[in-house]
Amino acid sequence: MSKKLRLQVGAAVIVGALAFIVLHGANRFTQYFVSVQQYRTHYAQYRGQVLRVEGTMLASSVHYNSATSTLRFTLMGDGQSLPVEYQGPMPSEQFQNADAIVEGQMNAQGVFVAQKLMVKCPDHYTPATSAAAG
Amino acid sequence: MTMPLLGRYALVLAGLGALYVTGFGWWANRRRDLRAQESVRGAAVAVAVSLTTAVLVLEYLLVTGDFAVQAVFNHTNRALPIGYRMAALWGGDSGSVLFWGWILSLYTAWVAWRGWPREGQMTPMVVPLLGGLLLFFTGLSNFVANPFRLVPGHPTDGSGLDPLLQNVVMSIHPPAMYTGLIGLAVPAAYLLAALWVRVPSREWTAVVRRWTLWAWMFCSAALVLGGMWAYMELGWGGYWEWDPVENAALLPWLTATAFLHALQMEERRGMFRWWTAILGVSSFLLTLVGTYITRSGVLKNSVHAFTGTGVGPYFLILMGAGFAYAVGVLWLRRDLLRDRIELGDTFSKESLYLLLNVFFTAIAAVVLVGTFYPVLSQALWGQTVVLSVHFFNRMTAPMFLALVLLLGLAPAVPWYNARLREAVRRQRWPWAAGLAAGALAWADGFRTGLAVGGVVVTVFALGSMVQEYARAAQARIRAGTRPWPRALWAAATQNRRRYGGYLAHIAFLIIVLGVIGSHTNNVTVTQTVQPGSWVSVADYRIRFNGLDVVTHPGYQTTEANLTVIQGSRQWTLAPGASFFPGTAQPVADVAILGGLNQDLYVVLEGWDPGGQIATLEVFVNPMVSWIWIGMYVLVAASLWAMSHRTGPAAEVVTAAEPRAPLAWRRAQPLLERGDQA
Repeated sequence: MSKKLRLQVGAAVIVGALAFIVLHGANRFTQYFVSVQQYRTHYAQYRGQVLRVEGTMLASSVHYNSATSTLRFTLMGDGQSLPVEYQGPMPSEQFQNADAIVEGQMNAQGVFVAQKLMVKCPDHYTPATSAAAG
Repeated sequence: MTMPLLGRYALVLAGLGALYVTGFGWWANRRRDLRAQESVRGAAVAVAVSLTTAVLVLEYLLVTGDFAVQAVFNHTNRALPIGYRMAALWGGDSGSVLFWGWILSLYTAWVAWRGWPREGQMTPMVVPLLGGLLLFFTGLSNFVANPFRLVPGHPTDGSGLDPLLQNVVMSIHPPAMYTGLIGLAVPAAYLLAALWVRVPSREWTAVVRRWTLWAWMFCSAALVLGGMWAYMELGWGGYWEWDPVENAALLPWLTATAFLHALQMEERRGMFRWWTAILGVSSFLLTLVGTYITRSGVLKNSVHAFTGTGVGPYFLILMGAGFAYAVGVLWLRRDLLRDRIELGDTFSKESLYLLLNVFFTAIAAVVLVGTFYPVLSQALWGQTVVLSVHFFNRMTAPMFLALVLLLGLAPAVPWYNARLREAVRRQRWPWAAGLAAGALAWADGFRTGLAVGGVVVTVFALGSMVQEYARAAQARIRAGTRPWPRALWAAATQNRRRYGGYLAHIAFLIIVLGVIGSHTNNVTVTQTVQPGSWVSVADYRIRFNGLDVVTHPGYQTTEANLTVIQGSRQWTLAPGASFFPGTAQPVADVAILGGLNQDLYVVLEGWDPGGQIATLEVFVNPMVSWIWIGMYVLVAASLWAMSHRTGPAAEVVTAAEPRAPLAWRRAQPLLERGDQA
């Protein structure tokens, strides 16, 4: 086998192996990323899976139990809502509706138990009490 | 004239200057009109002066708090300390674009002013190329994201800076990142100009390498600083999460690292030229991809999606144009990209360099595909799918370790053809050190194959680098330089480029050890405590003494007062949570007790507002500080390598060319003559 051919075969093997492990890995480590509305409408498809749901964290629904450090709130999206429970730090008192992503799964009681809560940072930070609204 | 108006005029002037540099520069090159080319040189400096004026005006407005200006109103307020007001320059889109353009203009002016006499064959083309980019940035600043736009009404206070950005590291990380990312445009421009004008490679490799090393140093430091910020500020105990924004910064770093090594190949052997050219160009193009990711919010799974003024799509257009241009140049100059030497043996230094290119590119490909997977899956199957952290870890870790192995092997593997047995024999001590470290790691509780194997390979590579230093010192001692520290110093200062490079390898290996260590045997405990009760984690005992509320200008912090005892030593820690009006979540004030072996990392998770109960999350993170130490060493090593060839001899390019390669070329008459003909 000529050197050039050997090199090309070697390169093809490396690229092939790489493509295989990437595709294989992509199948094993995926998570669906859906909106509240999608999650509600196609729930049967997502039952029992850990996934990410995106929606708006409703300020008025936020309830924090300091004894168990459990945060409960409702995630809204396109008229659908999803009750979420999350173990983590207490939110601020002056709380605004914020876009958030939760990662977790539904429990038997129909509450979405989030292992992770990501509240998006807005484009620019706008405090609730700013008098000089642009 | 009001200050904001001065800023606007400066921007307009900069835009016109950039137009002149690009259009007239191109025309002057076509006409080969020397006087016109000189005027382009001056115009490049004028653009830098205009943009410097604009930046200074914006800084002045930020510091004095002119809240009628949009960029000031959006990102500062009265309560903000002066340091953060200055850093608010890059707090938002419009300021960031101006800042990018400004740094680019400084680079362009430097090339026009200092590089012109030295690299005169390339600079007349490099300056208009960079001028095209300047035109893009000044265009954005003038028409899309003008920082000097006024806010209606007469606001007396601004919105304030995002609390997460109010961190010392965060005021260094963005400028370092920008300096690095924009810096990658310069070597790409030089490379394309050199190919287009058919400058022989020995004329351009030195200048391209120096610019790449400069940019690469900033990119590396900025990546680690970004991790440091996440570690200090986000309060989840880690420093890297494969977030799209992090990946965006990692991508150009990967290809730029490979490019630095590929340049070595170009200079020493004239081989794998397609790799070199593509890596250089794609490092720059990937910075635009990264900017598109961060500025467009296309990847919604990111926490940091900075949406807003809508500058994102423009970067995509710029990337497309840059890509098309680069492909055109490379294709039309494909005759220059033929290799000078054919690959000899399958096992040789050349093949290690080739594998290095392959692995860095493969990692970049995995990260790129993984980052855009949500978009790809949406387009292909109509379903947004996100790849988890495990995907990136599993895919890239083995390839990074393969790179570490290559790094360790390289010094013992000669050019053209090599014998495996000889390489192992030469490196028996490094291998022994690696295996011993692996055994120690096993005894210390490292159990996964990746962790133990990683320690073996990394320590082997460290040993290999140390051996190179030792060999150099020995040669000096034999030549009569004593004692050995002096010999070592003499060797390291003589060839700063090589030993600076080895030191950079050592720094990278320290970081790799830190990454492996911090993923092994970390402990996390979450516990709800009352005043007087204890939390025990690893060998730390933590006593909770109560809660304090501290009022700062503009925000309030609730702190847990803790006493930490480890053996006979005692510390006081105060992890807290800060409330900034209007934010959804409090900003964690993580308390970190840093150490070489491990960090104690305490987060105040929650508390009972009325009473004194608090929930603490305590992490023991091993070896994280190694990553920070590695970064400092890396910066020092890069500066060391860059300081090679300074002084009066470096003023003109022919004299500045290193003597060693010249001597080497003379030693290779056959191949060299063929090349020059």
